[in-house]
Amino acid sequence: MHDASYYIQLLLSGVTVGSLYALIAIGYTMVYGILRLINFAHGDIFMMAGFFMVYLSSAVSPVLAVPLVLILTVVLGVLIERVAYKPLRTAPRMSVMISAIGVSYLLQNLATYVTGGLARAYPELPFLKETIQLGEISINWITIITPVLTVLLVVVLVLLINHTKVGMAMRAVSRDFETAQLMGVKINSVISVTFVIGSFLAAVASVLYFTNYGQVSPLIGAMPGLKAFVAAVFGGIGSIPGAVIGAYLIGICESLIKANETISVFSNAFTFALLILVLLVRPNGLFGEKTTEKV
Amino acid sequence: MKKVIAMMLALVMALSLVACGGGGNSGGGSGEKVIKIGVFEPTSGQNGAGGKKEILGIQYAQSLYPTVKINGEEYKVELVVADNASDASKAPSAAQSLVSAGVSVVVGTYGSGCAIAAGDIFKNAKVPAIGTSCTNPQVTLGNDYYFRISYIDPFQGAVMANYAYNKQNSRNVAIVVESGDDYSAGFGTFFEKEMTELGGASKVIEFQKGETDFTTTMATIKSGGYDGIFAPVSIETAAMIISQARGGGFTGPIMAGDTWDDISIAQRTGDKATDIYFSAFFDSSDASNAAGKAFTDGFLKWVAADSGRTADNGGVTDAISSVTPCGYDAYIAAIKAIEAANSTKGEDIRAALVNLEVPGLVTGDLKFDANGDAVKNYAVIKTIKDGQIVYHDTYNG
Repeated sequence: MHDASYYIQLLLSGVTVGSLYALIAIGYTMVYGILRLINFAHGDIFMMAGFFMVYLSSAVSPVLAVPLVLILTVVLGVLIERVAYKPLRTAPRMSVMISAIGVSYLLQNLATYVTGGLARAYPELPFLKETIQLGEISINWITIITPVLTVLLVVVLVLLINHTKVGMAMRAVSRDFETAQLMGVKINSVISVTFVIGSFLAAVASVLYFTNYGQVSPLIGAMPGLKAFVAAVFGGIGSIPGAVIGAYLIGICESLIKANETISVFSNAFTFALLILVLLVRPNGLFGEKTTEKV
Repeated sequence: MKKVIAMMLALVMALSLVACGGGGNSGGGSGEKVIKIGVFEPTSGQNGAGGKKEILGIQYAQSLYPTVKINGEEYKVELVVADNASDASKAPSAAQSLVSAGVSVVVGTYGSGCAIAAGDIFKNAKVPAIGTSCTNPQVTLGNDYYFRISYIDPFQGAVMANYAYNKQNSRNVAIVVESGDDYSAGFGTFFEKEMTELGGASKVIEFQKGETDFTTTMATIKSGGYDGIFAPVSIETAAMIISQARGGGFTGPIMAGDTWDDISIAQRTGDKATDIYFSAFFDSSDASNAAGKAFTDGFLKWVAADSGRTADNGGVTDAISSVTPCGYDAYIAAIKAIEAANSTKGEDIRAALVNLEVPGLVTGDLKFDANGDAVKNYAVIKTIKDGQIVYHDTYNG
């Protein structure tokens, strides 16, 4: 009953959703790799980036607003790190995590208070939403641009980590926090850079995501954030290629499940069942770092 | 030093809480008698836009009828608003806060899930509630304290299935509903039942709360040979379903129920909002409805007079959502019931509501049946044209 173009369409939309998860998942996985902290506020930074765009675009044109949104989101991410995580650097890991949950709720409630709790229409960027017809398939530009941009950003990021001084410092810090500090690595600036990159990618994801779905609401960051977190765990938290591949797998699987009228309702259940399964069978994920027992 | 700062911060926070609590008591000091009416509505969450429009109707009614006479004494009506956040898990605590505030009667809510979740709280506290646009039959069934102004889903489901089958010639409809949502799933079932009786086919496709990506669902609907979509979903989801259905190349009619009578859906979908049809309680351009005409004129002036009200009305001063008159009518019904009961006690007001008859309300004459539902057989069907919600058809069953 379905023809080939239908399955291509499913695959395409899975890849798009997967790309968006990937951009968010990198933020989770990098912060975890360096601080051993699951940054629960990351999904809400993504949401805040959406609202920045909504408010900025009423003052300047949407095209001009995009770079401003990226800058503001990066500032927000670094600010959160300075205010809520840095003072707790020597505290037990649990305290930092609770602080992260607190920040998450703070951002959600702040957004609810400022916006009145309602969804806001996301400004339209020129040409991204235009539909093009490729044979039987109708897709919009954002479906094409999202995966391309994601892969490009990931390649740049991997090059940055493997071939620059900052990247080397990041690898050193993620390997051994204290030793890196003793060797003269400026821990605080490395952590700041991590948050800059994570927030930047979240902001890029937010522009693509909200342009695609058209509206921002205060609690919208929770679900994509959670899915991206699952993707990061699935790929092996701390590993960037792992997070990206995990995100694509989840995006495509979800898309295929949602395509079936009868089981479509289980798409979220699938994602979280996968999380449990991965944790049971391969606690370190697909590409996770091997932890050797030291006696 | 750090400890001192921490203490100061804690103190400031505690004080600000106290200050918040103090704000509510400002009205009652002057010695006049006050009766409190609870407003149980979502002002945030996925139905926040609808809840705010119902509250506007209630506030407008209060501005016209600010007092009520009990035993010859004039009582000032005070509205106590509680936000149920469009969330059935938060609804009971919002309801409890109204009961604790000592309200005599409650009006609301938008969204059946919240009404059902809060039903027992009102019942146990013996505070009658008058439902505005919660259309699931379970709201009033088995609850002597919940009444309702609007029509109910079995009726609405039949209206829309008949419309889809007879007017749109839909024979195979995809019913897209939110899993676990009392309104969405219930309404979908009634539509499916009627569609089957008419001889058409339909298939229920469920999605989870908070879903934003419907592209694959729409690809399946387009490729699977469906000739119509019926999507009784929340306002926020509606915009995404419309734009993704049209973006994915689905060209058939998209139908829904009363929740879609909200201008924000048209605003967010732009030129993609074509062939949209939904049932509604009321239409401001219906000339045969004299009470509706008076309400429309007065309400629009009242909304235009204040920028906050205009914002709650979706930023427009020339359109009325059909849930707004439900709020208005519910307030009037509450006032009439208080006067008929001649008492501020919830039990007495409930007894008065059972036999209450109010002719000439905005959504028609009001009389409750044995379940506490308004007896209704009138619905309008509206459509979206050039970014505006306009009248399309009338159903008299």
